[in-house]
Amino acid sequence: MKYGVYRVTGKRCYRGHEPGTMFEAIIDPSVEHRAVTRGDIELLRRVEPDLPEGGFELPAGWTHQPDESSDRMALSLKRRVVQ
Amino acid sequence: MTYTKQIARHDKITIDHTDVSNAFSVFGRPSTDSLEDVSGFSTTGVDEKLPGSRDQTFTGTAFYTEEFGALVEPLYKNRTAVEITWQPDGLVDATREVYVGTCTITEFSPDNTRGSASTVAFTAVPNASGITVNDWT
Repeated sequence: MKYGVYRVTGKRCYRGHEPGTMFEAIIDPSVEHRAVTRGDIELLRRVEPDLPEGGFELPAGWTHQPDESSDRMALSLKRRVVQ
Repeated sequence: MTYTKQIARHDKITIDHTDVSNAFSVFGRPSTDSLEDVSGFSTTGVDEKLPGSRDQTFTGTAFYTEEFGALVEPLYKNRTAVEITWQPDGLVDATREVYVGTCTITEFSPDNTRGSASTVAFTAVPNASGITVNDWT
């Protein structure tokens, strides 16, 4: 879900934030538009939280390693069924 | 038992999430239920009444300035549904109860008297959800 980073630009508190301060919030688009138009806040950037490419790896040993013994057992069971 | 008394000086009021506390000198939430007469013939002859529909508003008086007008007049003109909150003593006590409603502003009446502060009468009516009160502590 996207959220915005805003700065209070007017002379009045906005959503409890003092003028000049920055805050992060998910604001309804129409409410945001009115507040920006009035000059109460400015949108600094819009953020969509995600994982950066290649920035996440599973800890060592967490990945699944195929068990060779279980594969051999499955193969032998299959042969018995066929016979 | 005694009750704590207080002088109203620190109420917090927001319109469309913008703090307008300092603009208002009077603010409240009148809420009245209509009385429906359901009297039938009886030996006593006394009326029997039941509470009917509930009528709620936010009303107040603000000091009129261009800054305040620029905030409220467009909302009034366009009949925009906005969130309005009133927190008695909220500027100095964040734990106090909050009256909140999604409202349409139905009165915005600037009025000047020579030699006196410019004021504006303000009224807003909530949508069907009414004005609720949060955070009784």
